Amino acid sequence: MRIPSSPHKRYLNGADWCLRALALGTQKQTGRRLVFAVSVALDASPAASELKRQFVIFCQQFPVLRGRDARCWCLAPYWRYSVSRGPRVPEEIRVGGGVLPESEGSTAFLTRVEQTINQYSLIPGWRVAMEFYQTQDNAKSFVLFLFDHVLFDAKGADSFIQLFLQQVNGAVPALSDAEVRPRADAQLDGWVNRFKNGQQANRCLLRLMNQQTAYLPLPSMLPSRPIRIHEICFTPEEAKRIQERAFAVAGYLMFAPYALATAASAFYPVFNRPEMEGFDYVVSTSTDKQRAATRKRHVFFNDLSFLFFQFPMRAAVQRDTLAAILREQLVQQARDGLPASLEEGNLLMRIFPLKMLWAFLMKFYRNRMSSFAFTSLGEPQMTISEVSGCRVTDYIHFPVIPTPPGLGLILCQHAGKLHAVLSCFEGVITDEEAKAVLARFREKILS
Amino acid sequence: MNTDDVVAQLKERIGFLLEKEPATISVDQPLHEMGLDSIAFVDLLVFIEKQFKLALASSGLAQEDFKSLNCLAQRIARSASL
Repeated sequence: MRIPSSPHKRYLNGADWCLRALALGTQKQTGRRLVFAVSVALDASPAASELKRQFVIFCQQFPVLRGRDARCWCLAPYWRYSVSRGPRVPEEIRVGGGVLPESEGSTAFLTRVEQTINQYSLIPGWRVAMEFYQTQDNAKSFVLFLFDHVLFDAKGADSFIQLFLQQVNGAVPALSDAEVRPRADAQLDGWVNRFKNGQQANRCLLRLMNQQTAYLPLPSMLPSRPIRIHEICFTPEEAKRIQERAFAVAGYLMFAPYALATAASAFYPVFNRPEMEGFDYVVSTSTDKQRAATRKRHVFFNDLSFLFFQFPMRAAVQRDTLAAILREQLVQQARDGLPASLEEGNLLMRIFPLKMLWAFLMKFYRNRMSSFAFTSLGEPQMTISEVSGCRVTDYIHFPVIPTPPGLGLILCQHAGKLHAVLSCFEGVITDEEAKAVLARFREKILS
Repeated sequence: MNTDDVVAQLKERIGFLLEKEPATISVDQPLHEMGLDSIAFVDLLVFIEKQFKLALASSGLAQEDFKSLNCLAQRIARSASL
């Protein structure tokens, strides 16, 4: 049975619904919303007021930003939004920013990003925001875009930024809402097939649950637990060397298994506690279901599936051997069609109310969904190199990792550089431990 | 198996993975320059396994095999005829 969509509703897919459950759980455990930020660093400063004005105008083209979750008579959840536009700036769109001291270095910049994410993750109602910071002498500036994860995934955010900056540059007009309008039907057909896919995915996941998952508990400290962000950057020369090492150790185009093996190895001292003797790492990694050519048409909502890797914690000591194990697991999951099975099976999960789905997930995973999250984003879809005559010098993703595990590493590239961002909730690991993890990651990934 | 047939099938699959017209995919370009990442590449390897009954993922693949789509097709055609 196919339920037709309308301009006022967008049916949510399984990933959208599961992400909402994770957002609910994260809010419950930490008091914070599931959001992420992307920073665009510039080598000069465009006019702040004009940039902010353009951002509001740009966002107002997309009524989808002003919506809310609803459920259809057929039980499929959907995003309900009105296509009418009001004269005022809606609360879903926010702009802000300020002036930075001229001496503000990269450490201070990171502190600013952390503060902004911590501030915004407590504010209800917004869907997209832009904070613009410039130095007093206008020698540099950075634009921090913040996104609500229920409406954007990382690639969608890249496309959104690309479209906005295109509009700012005036080179190519941004696509209108009619062209970017998210379309999806209720997907209520093929229940037997979806049930079988769900069963297959469950079997794969239950195999992972056989072992004790190494897990760092989140100390409770509501109403709000701060998010900590740490970042390191590899130069283009170092990034090239890393690619060569990845090829030598894990094989052709096997950067992701190589980087994950290195991350597991870097995290090892943090997890290596007497009470976790003999435990396994379980690592979840999201995979982008979108493909390059369609991204500009799929700006909104989540188009993701997941892969899971499981290995004894001790294996992390032998990074090169672990990279081979992870490569095999990656190939096996592709053979088993796990991402596609999860995607199909998750469509059935949409009948659960979110609270029930969250409780179900916690029971299924015994509160230990994974040891840490890992994502390798690759080169962004954002290809703009100049904004109002200012050169784009950097582009970095800063995620909030849902709980559990509330700890994760994301890798993103820009202009040949490689960024590694460690994000966690305060108390999962200490700042010193986080810095040591990144220092080990740097050392190991280059060798 | 004819190398041209293999090339055509590989172009079809890579076109699907990258959402490009198969005709626009160059046979002389290395795979990593086409925009394939680890996940898409593994998908391609699994496709080769199923389509050509070749376990390339677990066999020794040399860097020369990926110099271009043509080289990969030749490798597949060679292995399939053994």
